[in-house]
Amino acid sequence: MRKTFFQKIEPFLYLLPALFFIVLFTYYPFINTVIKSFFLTNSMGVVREFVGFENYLRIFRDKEFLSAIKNTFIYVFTSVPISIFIALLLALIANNKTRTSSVYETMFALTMAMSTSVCAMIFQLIYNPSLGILNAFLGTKISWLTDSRYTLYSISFISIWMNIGFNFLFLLAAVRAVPGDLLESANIEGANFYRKTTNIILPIISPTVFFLVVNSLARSMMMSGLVIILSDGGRSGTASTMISYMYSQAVLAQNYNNGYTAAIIAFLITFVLLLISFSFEKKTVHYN
Amino acid sequence: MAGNLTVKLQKRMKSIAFQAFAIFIGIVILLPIIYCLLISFMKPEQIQTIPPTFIPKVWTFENYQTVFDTTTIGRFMLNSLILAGGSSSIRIITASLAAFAFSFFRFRGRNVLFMLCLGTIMIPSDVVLVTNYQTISRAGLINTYLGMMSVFCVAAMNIFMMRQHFLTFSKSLQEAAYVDGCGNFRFYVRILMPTSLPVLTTVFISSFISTWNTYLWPMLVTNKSLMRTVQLGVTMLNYEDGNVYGPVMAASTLVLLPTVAVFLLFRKKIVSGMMGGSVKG
Repeated sequence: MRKTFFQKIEPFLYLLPALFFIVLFTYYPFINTVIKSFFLTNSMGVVREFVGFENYLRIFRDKEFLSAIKNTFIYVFTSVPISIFIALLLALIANNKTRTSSVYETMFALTMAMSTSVCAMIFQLIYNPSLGILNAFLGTKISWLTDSRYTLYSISFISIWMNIGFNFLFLLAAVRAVPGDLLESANIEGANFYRKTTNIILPIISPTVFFLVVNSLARSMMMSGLVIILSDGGRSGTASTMISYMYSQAVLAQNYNNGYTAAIIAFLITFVLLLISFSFEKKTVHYN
Repeated sequence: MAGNLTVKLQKRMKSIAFQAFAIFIGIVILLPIIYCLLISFMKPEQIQTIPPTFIPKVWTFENYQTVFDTTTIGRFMLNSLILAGGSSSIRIITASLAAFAFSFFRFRGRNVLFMLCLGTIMIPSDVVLVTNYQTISRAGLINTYLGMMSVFCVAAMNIFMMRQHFLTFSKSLQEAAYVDGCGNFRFYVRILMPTSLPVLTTVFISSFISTWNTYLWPMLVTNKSLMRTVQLGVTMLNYEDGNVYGPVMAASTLVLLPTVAVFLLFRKKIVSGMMGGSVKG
């Protein structure tokens, strides 16, 4: 049976809307950004001349960008592990079902529904040196968001808090899937909670932990919203990340050269970091 | 017998103590949200007192009144609703059509195109932000709903999820429909979509929450206050006398309400959607 012309193109018609948006808003801009990072562009974003790797060489001499890379790494390496660790503790607490489990499960997961800007506003008040509850509680007089010794960690703490809910939901599902008879036989052998967790639960849930590490890495490397809201549009360089730097260069200063180049570097660093984590996968993650 | 009862009672007490502990931990985690709520009902004078207090002495709606009187928060809400509702609906259409093609048709280049779709997961939207902003600006779509929605119109994960779901769909049902003279598109509209309603709702809800909460993109493509979304509005409430925190917390509470409500109502659905392709209808 030969297909008619319509039958041949029919599936492509269904794909058209999705492919249109994918090409227009993901692949085209990506390729465009890569190409333009090798050119000089004016303040309208129009290409002037080919300069090879000059944009890259210049941006790596920019102290502000170097500190943005450093800051991004500090955010990632504090917020990703701590958030997953807290979520794991919560998942272990919520593991056994009780009459009120749906209440505290929902409480543990709720931070998932929070938005960057609302969290930024709430923590801005919590961190306020005189009116905020944090200094009152600790009996300190620290300017959490403006003292450059604390800014990074204060912002990182917000993103730890925001990510708890998402990580918790995945870890809870994983912890609950651990076979009961394995734990029971460990009980008979007299293993304590710590031994049970490290020897039985952790190896079994390691694929989920790995997924969460990769997922949070990829998202945290792109972190920018909190910084833009809480440290003056990312203009004050002390807390800026790669993406907030990209934003302030391209959008606020119309310096598209630095904007495109920073975007590509952020992409490459994230990509390499993900490759490295995948190479660890074989050693540390157990699939059954 | 009596010993058995005490053991039981002890077990019971232990369980109650444990549950109380778990709920206490839950309260600790939610402290920032509780703090925001309490401040939003506090009198401005009390917010200004040093050392700060946690519980309102007098409960008042004054801050909410200020927000409604001095800002166009209603309009911000409407903008966010249009952005989140609109782009989530478009996402469902684009993703389900694509997934329909990927799971019910055999054609040349199917795998390549599928990989092309999934490949977008590797490219973070922030990396392409600047170029997308230029595209929208060149198309004259700054300060329009279309411009705000454009980049959220398709999500590879949604295509993947729906395809996984469609693959579990019985082929015999499709053949039966075909024999009855039902064309492919009619099959999609009349049979496939209605029977996939659970997956569609999951996709819609998660996509609604994420677009409602989005910050950077709407900020780039709007500069008129009338077109601001609620996420932008809440960070831009500026009152002269430094008395900002009451209204800001009131506005934050209002912004949180829809997503928290949706989350509480549909937690099970959202979770099953997040757990990826293994969604069962």
